[in-house]
Amino acid sequence: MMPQIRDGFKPGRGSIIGGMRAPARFLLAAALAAAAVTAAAAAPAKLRVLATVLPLKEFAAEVAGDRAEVSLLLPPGAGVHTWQPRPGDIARLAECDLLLFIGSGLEPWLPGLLKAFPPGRVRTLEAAAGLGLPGPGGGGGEEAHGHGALDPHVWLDFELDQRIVERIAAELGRLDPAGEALFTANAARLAGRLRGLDAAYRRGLDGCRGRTVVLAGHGAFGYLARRYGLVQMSLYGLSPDAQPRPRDLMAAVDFCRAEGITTVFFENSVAPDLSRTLAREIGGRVFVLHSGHNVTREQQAGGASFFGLMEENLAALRDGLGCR
Amino acid sequence: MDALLAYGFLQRGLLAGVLIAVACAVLGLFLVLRKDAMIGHGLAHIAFAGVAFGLFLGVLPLAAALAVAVAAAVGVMRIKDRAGLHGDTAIGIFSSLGLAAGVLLASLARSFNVELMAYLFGDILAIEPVEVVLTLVLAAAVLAAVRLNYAKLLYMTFDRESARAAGVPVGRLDTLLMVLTAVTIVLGMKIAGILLVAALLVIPAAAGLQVASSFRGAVRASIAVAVLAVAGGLALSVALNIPASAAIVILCFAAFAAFSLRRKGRAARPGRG
Repeated sequence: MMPQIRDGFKPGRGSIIGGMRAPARFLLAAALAAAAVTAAAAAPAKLRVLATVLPLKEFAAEVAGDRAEVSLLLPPGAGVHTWQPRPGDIARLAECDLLLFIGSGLEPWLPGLLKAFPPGRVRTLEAAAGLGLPGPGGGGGEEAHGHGALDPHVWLDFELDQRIVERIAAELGRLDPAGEALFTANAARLAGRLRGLDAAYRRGLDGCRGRTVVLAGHGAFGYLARRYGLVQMSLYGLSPDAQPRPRDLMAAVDFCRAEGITTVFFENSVAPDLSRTLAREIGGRVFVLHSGHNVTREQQAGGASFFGLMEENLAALRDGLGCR
Repeated sequence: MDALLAYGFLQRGLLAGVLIAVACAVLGLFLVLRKDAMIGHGLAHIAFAGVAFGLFLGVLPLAAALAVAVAAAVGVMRIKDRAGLHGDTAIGIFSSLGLAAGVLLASLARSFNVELMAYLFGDILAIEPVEVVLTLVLAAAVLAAVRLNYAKLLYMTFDRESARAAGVPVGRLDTLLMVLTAVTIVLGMKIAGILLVAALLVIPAAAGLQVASSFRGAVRASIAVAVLAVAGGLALSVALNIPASAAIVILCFAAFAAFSLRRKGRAARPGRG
């Protein structure tokens, strides 16, 4: 049933619809709407779930098992802050049953995009909402555009992740009640893995020589740092698009020299030039951290996963901070 | 001044910036007099496609930009020579094509948004030591090339047809000038960014021409304007914590405005000039 309905939206049929007289067009629209309602009520075999960032995609895939087809809205390597949808992406969005996004201004392009659809057409779940984050509400609307005061990098906090997983399971259960028991069980297992990751970080980052993570990039790791008693010092604020200014760089150099810090971390989605400059200035080394919101094509081909990236981060942090 | 001594990145930025400024000022003077001022703008856009191409293929972006810009510079000369098209038409065609190709490649690859941004706006704070050496070689090459061909370049800049008739190798010198310009732009991209590098090629030369009474004087004046703008722009950027590339371009313009006002003042009172 569903394929026929979707056929109606193909451009090839546009001329036929356009050629109809107004009453006929109205009837067709009504029939399509009715068909869509029945189709939704009959619950299609598989849910189609889209996610804006890698962790949400992996969480949803893990929770849904084979009852949903979960994919990333963004192509590999795209920056989630600066991405712009192409027509094909909008079509995928129109056809999905659920869109998972972070909110809090992480996806500044999303509010405008959603406005283009009739209200309620695209069902969404905003991960950062309802986490009780400090700052101006979890609206994720335009007031938080481009990272307002709120830090949207919630997926780098593995306890918040567990709550996000719970909410994904609940939402999937509402969309597909027959799968509810499976979703709950899968979510519990995933939460266990997240607790394991959290424990590994706690153990691994205990008793390090340094506790300051100097980031030559934007401050994506605030939640992570807070959780494990580290201090994040980033060259520029929360926005990845900002231009570094000389005084910021000078302040970072002064700070590292005063504290005897010889390790510079840089996030893999920003250009490495600045971290090399900073490292050269303080005679230090550069370590890579993954923000994990997306992977490049090469990483994807290499089978990179959110959990794998987080383990690589832990190894880099332990190495860079001199942990036992 | 203290800051300059304490931070290596400021020293590298200043050194590379001043060297690029010298190369730009000298080349720019010839380009402006030949009514080729927009070539810098055009080549910068084309170099953008080169950077995107390099990032797309995973080779050195600057090398790719250099290859594409040099090829385009020669191409522009050819189109111009074949007549029918004026110089700026050819530039218009190539620069639009370059921008379109860059955007297309960026969209195809989808993995280097951030790096591409770095080239659009440049980063004088992140100059590598090897880049300082490259700009030094470039500035030396530009000065040497101009010095060795000074009379011939001057002749063909002011009277192309007579120069050709007198046996000056106009075509070869054109190519030399274009290749040097392309190299200057690609190296300057790192300092001022694609969007602003063309300014260094045009504004100091235009400012120098406002005050000089001889060609040599114009060369000296435009070098002075470019060097002071880069040094001053970097200092302003440190003092006020503003982006260096914008400060440099605005200082260039301030010099141009001051010089042209002074010239107007002189022209209005010929008795005292």
